[in-house]
Amino acid sequence: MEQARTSKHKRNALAYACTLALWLLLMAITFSQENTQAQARFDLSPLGLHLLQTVFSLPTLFIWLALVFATLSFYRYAKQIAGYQESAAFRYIAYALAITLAGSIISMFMSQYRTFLLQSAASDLTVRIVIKLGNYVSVAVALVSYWFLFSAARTLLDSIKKPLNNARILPKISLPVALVTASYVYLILANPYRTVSDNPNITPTYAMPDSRIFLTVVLPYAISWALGFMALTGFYLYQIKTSGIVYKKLLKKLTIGVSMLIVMTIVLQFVTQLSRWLAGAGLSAILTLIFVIYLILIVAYFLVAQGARQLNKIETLDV
Amino acid sequence: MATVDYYHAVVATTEGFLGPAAERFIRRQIEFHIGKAPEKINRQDVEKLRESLRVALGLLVDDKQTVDDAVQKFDAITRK
Repeated sequence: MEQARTSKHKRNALAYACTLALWLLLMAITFSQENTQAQARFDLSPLGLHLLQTVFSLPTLFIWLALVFATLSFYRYAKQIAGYQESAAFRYIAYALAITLAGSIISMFMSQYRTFLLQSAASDLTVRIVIKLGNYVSVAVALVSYWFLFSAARTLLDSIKKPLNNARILPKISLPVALVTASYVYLILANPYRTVSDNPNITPTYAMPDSRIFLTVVLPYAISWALGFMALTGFYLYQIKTSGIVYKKLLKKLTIGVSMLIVMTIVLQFVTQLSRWLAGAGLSAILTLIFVIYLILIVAYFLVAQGARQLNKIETLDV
Repeated sequence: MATVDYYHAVVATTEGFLGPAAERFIRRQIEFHIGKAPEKINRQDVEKLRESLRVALGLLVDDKQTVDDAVQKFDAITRK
């Protein structure tokens, strides 16, 4: 028993250490690169730019650590209640969070690679390929993670014999999904840098023709948002329909956290469209926007993890 | 005389507080503190389980009303 606990602690410590090591590697790569575009754009010295990069990167580290914390909390809870139907649901949530973490790490490294390519005057084709890959990673992460969250909500409702009625929910979520998709399409069409960019400080957002943007980016995102809204509805229904006044209270943080996560990830996808506005915005405006989003995301991940830990408390109470 | 199914009565009552975690909680308490098959618990065992649930609820939520409510419901089982 004691040996198993030590091994579990070692595994957890290793997960945090690996995350920290990846962040340090990212920082090292960031600092080793000259970013004359950013220096020119914000009128910064190399030291000023490094300071700014550190300030930008610290919330990323907190988000990654919060994601590791949340993933491990759900995984532990799923193992704790192994054999029961809800176990699979909490394992799915852990998978969704782990995929989000992996996606975030890959995106940050790809972003650095893109900066490196621009500084090293790489061919336009290479830069465009890296931009496309970055977009496809984001799309795939959204699709897979929302699919797991949806599966989790569905499994939870199945476990209390109140299955998710797709025929009843789909009409209800179709309006918000249509609104989000229409707004996203509007922002894409209003983005002059979506395919090519004549501004040397801004890379194209998608680097592909409109038809391909709609088919390979907008459509999968619309599907992922539908899954996200269905997951959101499912979690709320589970919180309402499940039994146990204390269990419901403990579940509240989890439901609020998951809702915040789904909404904020959609907001983040929108922010990528604001390159025209961001291109003209001052440094403080960009910093404020990023910090507000990061702060809400960190709070959401901690709420989700706290929810899992509180549920775990019921299973580990030794009275 | 029909025997009282204390185990299922206890689980059903605990579900009102701990929801899907109720059965696991009761089984764990029986295994660690009573040491007999769940279906074989008696009135005295229910009293022990009432104490376990009282302490557990006290640790989980700071709500005396909820704890008192649980104790009353367990007392009703022992009166069956």
